[in-house]
Amino acid sequence: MLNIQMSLNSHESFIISNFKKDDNLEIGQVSCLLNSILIIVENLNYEKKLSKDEIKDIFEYSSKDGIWNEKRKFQRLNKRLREKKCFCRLSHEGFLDKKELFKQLDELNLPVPIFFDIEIMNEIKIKIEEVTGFTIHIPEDANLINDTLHILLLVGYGNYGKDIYFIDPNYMLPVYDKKDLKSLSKLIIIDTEKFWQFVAKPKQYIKVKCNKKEAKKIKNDLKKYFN
Amino acid sequence: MTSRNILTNKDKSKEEIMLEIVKLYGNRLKLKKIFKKNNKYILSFDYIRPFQLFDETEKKIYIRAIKIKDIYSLETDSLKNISLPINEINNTINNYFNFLQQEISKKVLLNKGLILNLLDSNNTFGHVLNRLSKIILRLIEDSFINKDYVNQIVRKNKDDKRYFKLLENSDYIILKKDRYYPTNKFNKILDESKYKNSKKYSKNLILYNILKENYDYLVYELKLSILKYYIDLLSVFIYLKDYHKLGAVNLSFNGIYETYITLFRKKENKYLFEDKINELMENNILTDNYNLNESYV
Repeated sequence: MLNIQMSLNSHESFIISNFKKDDNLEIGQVSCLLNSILIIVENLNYEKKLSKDEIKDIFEYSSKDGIWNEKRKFQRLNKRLREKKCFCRLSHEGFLDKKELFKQLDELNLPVPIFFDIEIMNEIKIKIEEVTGFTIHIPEDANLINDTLHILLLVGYGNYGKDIYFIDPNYMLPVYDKKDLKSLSKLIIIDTEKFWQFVAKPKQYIKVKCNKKEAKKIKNDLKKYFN
Repeated sequence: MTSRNILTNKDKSKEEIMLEIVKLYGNRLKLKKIFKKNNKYILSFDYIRPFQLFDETEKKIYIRAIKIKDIYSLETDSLKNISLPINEINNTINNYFNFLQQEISKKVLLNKGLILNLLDSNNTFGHVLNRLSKIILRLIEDSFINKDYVNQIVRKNKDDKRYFKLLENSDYIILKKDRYYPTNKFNKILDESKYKNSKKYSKNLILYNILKENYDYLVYELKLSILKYYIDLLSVFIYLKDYHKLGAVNLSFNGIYETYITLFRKKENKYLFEDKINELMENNILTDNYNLNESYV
């Protein structure tokens, strides 16, 4: 079991405490973005205000073809959040430094969805297989798959940020139970070199922005939920 | 050193443009090339969408991607405020899929063994062609059909007239002095099938040729849309084999159903779909592992 707890001051290691998980995450088609959004909304404690169906209505396009106005999707989500008096905002942003990602993790105690090249699957598939019992088959012919992206949820770091902890929202999270989320052995650990090697170009993540008051409220709500 | 410092100016501008596009249109559009020509920037995009198939028996997940190269090319004076025509790009994607569907349908229709098995087996595919089958069988048995007989059956069902018209127009029968006779084309196919010594096989071989040549007419004019349902369903297996190298793997019902939706971009009644899949399994066209029987690969 994981015994590393929040040590924000030292920055030696950090892992999300009290991570809530929707029991009805999507399995089947590629749904890493949708599952990531669902997890964020759940951990912002907005799940009672904004239903999964409403989020799916805005974000579920994984099994459909075509392109969309991505920015407008986030605008729609944020508008819906605002209408329901939820004061955090989500957006699809770029990053240059992993400190930006750790900041979101530390300050909000929220998982951070980060985009990777699909080749990351070759690095993490053993862990996925171990946890899910499913073998991941990536074609040897790179033409069949390259340029595709995959999202992993950043949930913590260790060794002063040299080791970065992730959960796969598409394959692992739907089959995890709450105690798995606190066990380091159940997490994907990627070192910094691999992180920069496989992170998508352009570097991108789902940013959550909350004002201080709201961020404090979220943390307190989560504490209450788990107590 | 941060990544910002590692990038050259050229890379940096491309990465920044890519990020702007990703934020606006998501990750399905991939900026592949950017170059300058006659003082204009040319940006070329590919379309990429991942999909996956579950093999529940073997507990495997196959990750693949649908790719359309050079889906759109933008010519612009400035790299600021890039705007892309979503509807135009989506129309190109639609056209790509329509073309792909037609291309795969052709492959299925050219798979002689597969279509002959479909015609030979007990299924709706063969049943909807019964009236055409009866005409062909009569021509094989009697070597002609009297026009009076034709008038007689046409009185019962006007559509039968269209079958004669189809056979006549596609050069399988010819009208001479109030009788329809098989043409050389018809007889040549008959000769090809003689070694089987089976009228049913001969009839099916002629039907196969008619179907191959007149598929659209049968589906859209004679409204035998169930033929398309079967051909579309079988297209899924050809698509997975030829386009995603997933020909020799165990698949699941849901995997096939999801691929059907991916390829044909329409939701189908799952029960009807399952019914037809089971029918094809009973006909030994599909294996128990939801794959095409080896003899048709």
